[in-house]
Formats: sequence, structure tokens, C-alpha cells
Amino acid sequence: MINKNELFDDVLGGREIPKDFLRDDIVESNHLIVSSALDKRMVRSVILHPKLKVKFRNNDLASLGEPTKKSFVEDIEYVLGIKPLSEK
Amino acid sequence: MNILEEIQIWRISENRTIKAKIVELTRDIAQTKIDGRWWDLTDVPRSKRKKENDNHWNWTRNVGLHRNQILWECVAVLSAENEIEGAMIVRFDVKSRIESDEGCVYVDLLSTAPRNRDWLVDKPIYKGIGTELLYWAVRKSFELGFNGRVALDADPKPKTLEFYQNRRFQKVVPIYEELIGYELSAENAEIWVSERR
Repeated sequence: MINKNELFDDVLGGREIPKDFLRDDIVESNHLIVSSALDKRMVRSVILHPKLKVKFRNNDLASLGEPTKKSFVEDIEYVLGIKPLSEK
Repeated sequence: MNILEEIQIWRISENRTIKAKIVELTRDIAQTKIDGRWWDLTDVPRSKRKKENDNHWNWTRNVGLHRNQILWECVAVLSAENEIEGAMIVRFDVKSRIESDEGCVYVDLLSTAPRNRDWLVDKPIYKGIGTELLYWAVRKSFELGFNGRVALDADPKPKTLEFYQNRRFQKVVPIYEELIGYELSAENAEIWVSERR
């Protein structure tokens, strides 16, 4: 439910973030091409949680079927304790 | 158009919420519905429009810069009138300033459409677009495993301070000293989600 008292509008941002504020434990690959929401979810999980130590290359991603990808994402999210908000 | 979520937004004239959508913000949408549309406010004097921080922002360019970057996301609120009521660009590679070993969703750009700004126009159409975009960022943070942590840096305005403090954002070290850094902790994100139910 929207609380009428918290309705707020703003304009913010537009400044470059100094490197000190960025995470130094992740590397964003410019070579990964994602073509679906599921691919994006999988790649983000792996990049944003490097402690999981999962490695794959772009050709690995292309060769995986949708059920395998879905299962892979679910396994990662289970390990990380990520649950849909409806289950919280 | 890639619809990400169905949401509710507050329509002022009817004093009630109506259905809207969070959509992926593409260059085409930015060009036709933001850059080529938002500042077409004939009732607002040019001098007043120019005072707005984002008057010169080029959303088409900004979306173009980040559209292929996996750790960025560009989203917008699409109303039933098929207009973009607000837009936001977030990034996921920023450190939490509360828990330095953790990540967060960082709000890089956020704007409510000028026609919805009560400080700019006499009769804004929608209210609370900023809140809905921020709440989407919180949900995204949970989805990415950041436990709801969301950070941003804002100008030091009393109304802004009041909102973020009421919403339990904590003051953190800002990226530039003339700004105020705010971050929603994991604990306070949980509270926001539970209050929305």
C-alpha cells in the first residue's frame, strides 16, 4: 500500500562517482553479450558475488539451455540466500 | 516496450492511485518521451525551467552510454496516458557506505517529469513518482543479493532531507562534500517492504 505521507519527487545525480566509492572486487566484462532477462540475472549474480568463485565464458553461456540456466540461477540464489520478496 | 513491473501511482486530481508500469528505458523512449517532451511546458517561464538541475540533461545520451553495461539499468515509470512520468539510472558496482564489504544499488540519476513537480507547475498530474522509483531500487537490491541496500547522493534541501530521514535512509559520507550521502540499510529496507504490504 502506498502511504500518502511518503509521496515524494526529486531530481538527483549526474555526478561521476570517484573510484574510491566503487567496489574493487568485481570486474565488469565488456565481452559478455546477454540476450535475455535470465542471462542478465545469471551474469549479474556471478559478477556481483565473486566469493562464489563461479567462472564461465561467453561461449559457455551460449551453449546452456534455458532449464539449465534457470537451475543455475536458482542454485546461486539459494547459496546467496536470495529469496523473492513475496517469500520474505 | 519491455515492461518490468506493474505499479500504482498517485493521481492528484482523482486523489487515488492508478495503475502504471515500470519499463526498461531505451534510447528511443528517452528521445521521444523525455528529451523531446518533458520540457515542453509552455506555462512555465523559461527562466524558471532553466533553474532546474536536470534542465540540460540528455537522457538519450545517458541511456546510450549504459545500455550495454551489465551492471547498470535504466528504467522509467509509464503512466496510463502513455507518458513517462519519471526516469532513473542505477548501477550495481558501488560499495555500501554502511557495510563496506557489501554492495548496494546506487541511484546515479533520478528525475520526476517536470509536469509532476509541485515546485515548478501549478497543477502537477502525479505525485510520488520519486518514491516509486526508489522503492523499485530497493526491490532490485533484494533481487541482486544486496539485502535492500540503496545509496544516493542528493543536494542539501530541507524537503529532501525530511523525506530520506522519514524513510530511514542514514546519512553517510557523500561522494562530494557539497552533497549529502544517504543510504538505506538492509534492516531499514526490510521495514520499508513490510510497511508496503
